[in-house]
Amino acid sequence: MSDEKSAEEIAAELTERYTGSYNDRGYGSDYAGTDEFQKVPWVAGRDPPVFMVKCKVGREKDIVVEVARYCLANLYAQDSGGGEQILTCFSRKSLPGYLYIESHSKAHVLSVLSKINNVYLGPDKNKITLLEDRDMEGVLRVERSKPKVKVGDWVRVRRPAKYAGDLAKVVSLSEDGDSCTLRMLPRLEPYSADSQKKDKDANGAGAKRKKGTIRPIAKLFNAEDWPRSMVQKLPNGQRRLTHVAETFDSQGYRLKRILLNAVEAPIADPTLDEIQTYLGGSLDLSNLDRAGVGVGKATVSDFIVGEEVEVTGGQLTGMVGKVEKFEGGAVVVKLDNLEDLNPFPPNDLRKRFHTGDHVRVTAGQFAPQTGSVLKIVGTVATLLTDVTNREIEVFTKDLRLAAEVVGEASVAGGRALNGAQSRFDVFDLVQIDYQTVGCITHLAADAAVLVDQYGNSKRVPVSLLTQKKDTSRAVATDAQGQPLAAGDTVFVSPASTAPGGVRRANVVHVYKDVVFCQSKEVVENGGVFVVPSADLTVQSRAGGRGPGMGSMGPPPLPAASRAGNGPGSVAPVTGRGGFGGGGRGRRDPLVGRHVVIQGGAYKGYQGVVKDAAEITVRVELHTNARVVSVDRQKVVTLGADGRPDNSGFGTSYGGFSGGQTPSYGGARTPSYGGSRTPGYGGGRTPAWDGARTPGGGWGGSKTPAWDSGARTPGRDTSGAKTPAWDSGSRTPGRFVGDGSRTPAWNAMSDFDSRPGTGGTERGDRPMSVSDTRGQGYGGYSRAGTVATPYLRPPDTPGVAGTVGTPGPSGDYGTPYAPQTPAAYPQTPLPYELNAPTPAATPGGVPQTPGAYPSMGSVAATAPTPHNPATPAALGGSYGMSSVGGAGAPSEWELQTEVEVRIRSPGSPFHGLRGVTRRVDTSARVCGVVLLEGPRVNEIEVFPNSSLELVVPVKKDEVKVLSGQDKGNIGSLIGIDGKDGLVRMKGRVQIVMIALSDLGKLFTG
Amino acid sequence: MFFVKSLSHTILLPPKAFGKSLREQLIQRLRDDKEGTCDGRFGYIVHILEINDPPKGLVQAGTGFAEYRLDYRALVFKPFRNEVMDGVITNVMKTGFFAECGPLQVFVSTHLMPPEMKLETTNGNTSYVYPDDHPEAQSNWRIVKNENVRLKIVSVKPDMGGLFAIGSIRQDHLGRIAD
Repeated sequence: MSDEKSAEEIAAELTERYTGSYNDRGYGSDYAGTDEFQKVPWVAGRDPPVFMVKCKVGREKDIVVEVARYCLANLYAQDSGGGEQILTCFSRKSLPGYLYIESHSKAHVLSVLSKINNVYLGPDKNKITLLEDRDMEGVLRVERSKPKVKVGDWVRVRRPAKYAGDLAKVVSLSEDGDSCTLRMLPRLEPYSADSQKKDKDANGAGAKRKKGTIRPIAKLFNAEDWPRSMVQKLPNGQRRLTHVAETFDSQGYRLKRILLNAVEAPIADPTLDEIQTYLGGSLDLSNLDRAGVGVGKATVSDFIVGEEVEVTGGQLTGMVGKVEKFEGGAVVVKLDNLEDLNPFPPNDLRKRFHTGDHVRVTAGQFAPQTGSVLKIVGTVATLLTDVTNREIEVFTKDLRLAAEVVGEASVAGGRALNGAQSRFDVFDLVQIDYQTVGCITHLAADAAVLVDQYGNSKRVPVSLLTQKKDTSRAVATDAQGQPLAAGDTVFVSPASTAPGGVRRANVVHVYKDVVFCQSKEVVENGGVFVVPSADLTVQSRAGGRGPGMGSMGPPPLPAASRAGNGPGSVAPVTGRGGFGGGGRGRRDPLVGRHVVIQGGAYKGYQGVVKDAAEITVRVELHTNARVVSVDRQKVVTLGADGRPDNSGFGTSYGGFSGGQTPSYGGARTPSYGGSRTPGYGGGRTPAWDGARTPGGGWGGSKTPAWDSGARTPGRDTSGAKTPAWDSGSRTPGRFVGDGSRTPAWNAMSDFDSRPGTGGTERGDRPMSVSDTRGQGYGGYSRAGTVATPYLRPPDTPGVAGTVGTPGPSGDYGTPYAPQTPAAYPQTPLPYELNAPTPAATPGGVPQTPGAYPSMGSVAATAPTPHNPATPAALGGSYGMSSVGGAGAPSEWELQTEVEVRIRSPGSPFHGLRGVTRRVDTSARVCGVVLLEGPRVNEIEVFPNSSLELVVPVKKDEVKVLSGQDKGNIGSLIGIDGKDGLVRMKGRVQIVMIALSDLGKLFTG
Repeated sequence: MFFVKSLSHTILLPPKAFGKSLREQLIQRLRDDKEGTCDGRFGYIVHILEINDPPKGLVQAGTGFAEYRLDYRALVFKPFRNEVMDGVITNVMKTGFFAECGPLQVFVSTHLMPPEMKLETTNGNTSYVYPDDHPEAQSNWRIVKNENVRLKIVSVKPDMGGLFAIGSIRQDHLGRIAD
């Protein structure tokens, strides 16, 4: 404590010593700026004349000094011919190459200048100019330039290189504003008698010591570390190292005068980390202000209306209130227990949080993570981050109350901030250098913290990371000789080097014989640790692999074990071994699919499958970019129409989707079945097998199937590429891609290289779809591949045939038909009212069963019956709510307890009515309690853009959504064109408010 | 806090379940689907107490599945902020400790523990203990695995498959469960 006090005193002394300097001593340079001076004429006749002479550019200051020296030396030497009366001599930085001398005598000036070098007096030694009055004014005027930095500012040092990037504080400014004195952490070459000697020896031997190869660490100067002879004591407790001529203040900081253009200033608030380093690694949080750090002060932009704040300065210190509005540079606060609004400078306010509050970091290296507040001391809050469970310290000004959860993964090297996709993500395995790889555990804006293969944690700039390593195919052997790969769950041997007591972990990466595991029980490094594979025992395997190990792996489950899953549930893909032992490393078919979660905490959420294991899948939610782990059974794929895919992914994938085509297409939108299936079943599967088992009889059996696939009208349609094909679901794309790539090539090459595999069969059999199936099937069995899963009874083509091939009218008649617009979930609804966009109209065309060529005419007329199904039509009631030009729903300022209708084509909640319960204005999402549908009374979160106001009618209770009455409640007593007449609650008069600004209040 | 809550759940039953045991299957499905799950709104569904007679199902066109909407009453457990509950310590670390209050996992950071408690590691067992001169020291209570603890919930947030809470024992009468 006593230390700090003395430091303060010293600081005060320093300030006094350096800041007041010139002006206070009465030199009066500042006088020029005062008003009184402005009133008198600048240059009066009796003022001495000023002469101007040319001189060497860049030497002006030297010459001035020389003149001064000469004059001083000869001041009293009048007798010996000296004693020239020179009043002043100066140069202006803005006028290089000129020297100005004030003197009553030209002769004196010439006499002095003739004795000085670098002054150009011409051949006659008399080339000097007398300045006219108005020129004198210009030359003598001193413009006060606004200094770039102020005393007390934080700056970043640019030069010298040894200190480049270091944080420093401005202690004083030079008078000319060119330089400043900085207080910074010294970086001194460590002293040792040996090194000094060695240096000398080396120098003596003529060898030049390599300098600056290693930057000395920054730490406070301690006089004890140096021989007494090298340290010189200065007043004010300062010390000076004589051999390097560096000065340190009593606390051990280096004081260094540095040119202003060698510093980077002003910098935005330094981060807490940097300040901690600056303060010598330890930061007494409770003492931030006293330590003179002066950071963590909020600015107006840090506050938002409604935030709880505490007054920290002025008479009202300690009072608590809420931010009401902003006025100029002041924050207007409604203090608790006070009637009036009080404006405060943002410096005098501090955001107020409570332990346990869920907050988001809005700035700094931890943005935009979320976490819970553990502790608050002064302006610094300690948070426990949501995703990585790390404790971080952040200024409260950089915090905001948050509803959602954002993890580090979504930061991903600044992705969330810059909008650009980062190359890396948390848990990626990256190459650090030639021999080292590491698993990323934390990503900051510019650097990644990772665990290398030796288990060491290190921080590496992202720019140094080269490639991301794909370890999905890497396999190691566990303690029992079983294969071990990424995604597996393993038991960790107690004898292993794993951090204390971890029993179970997930394998993140396999690299050679070391395994990167992750466990929630481990706190360090985001739970990632490294163990030799021999210390692990596989407990359960990741989905895509098990049987793929061929003979090594456990026998594949019988296909029947897949039966009995609920509708639409996704069967574990354990049985995939049927692919001739080639399954390893193949992507799980679920990966990349859009799914809706049907149970658990995330029920109803939609997302994209990022990774699929045997039992669980990892789904990246659409709502908040969070990746969650969900039971495989609870995930249902979404069809192109955005409806849950009831036929179940397991089956549709099972290798025989081809057989299901017609029924598939019939049950839902034709485009779905028509586009996806051929490519999927007919295209991909044979190729897979074909590539692996080039049996002789194979080509024959396979070809027709392929061929017919290629020739199905559906294919033709896709070739035509009507807009909907591209704009619709991804499946068509996949189909085209697959069609051109995998099966075709393999099939063909097989074919060509083997004459006699029945080439004639190929191409000369125009078949119907079901026909094809039959043929392909027959071929299979003939080829003797009895064990293939294609022969599973449920998939027989017969089934497909009977259910399928619905006529076109049937297609239109299906209840799903109107759902087709779901293929364009992104399309903003309201704008389609005017005219059907190109996407909307042709949307119907290809979605008609293109698979049936005879339907061509029907297809042509199809758009008409389809039109009602375009998104435009769905927005029926919207037409009203958009009256008044309130614009898209996303522009509302939503309030709670307002009735809304969900407009989210593709979501199971589309069209349902609900009540807004929670409104997150920053994330623009709402928690809506559903009033209809299967999940009535349950709360769901929707983006504002997919909510539409229920338009109130006369006599409805309404809530005002914007304007000065925002948030108030009233009753709608009449409608006048676009405006509603509202009697506000508790008031007599009636207000006119645009209908679009009124939300129907939910009254139960 | 525990509540008895009336809830409903929609079950889709495949045609092969249409038979004598349909009712049992429905109930089984409901229990499988719901018991032990956690919902952000109601908390954990601990136990299904009572299931109303299932209404007639509705066969879905196209799939043949039957849709049943079951109304049931369930015992739910929902932790609230500032709620005090008892738990068992499961893991002690440098940064704090984890405790389980039934299905709820609670993390108590060192910031939310009495500042006097000090980390102690003996034969690989980490624990937090009061210093000898502390009045609480005689109780011999320490923060160590499998010990009981009374804590106050500071924040609750949804986590993968459940809820995750942050707790505090930095207050009178928290920590050791008094007799």
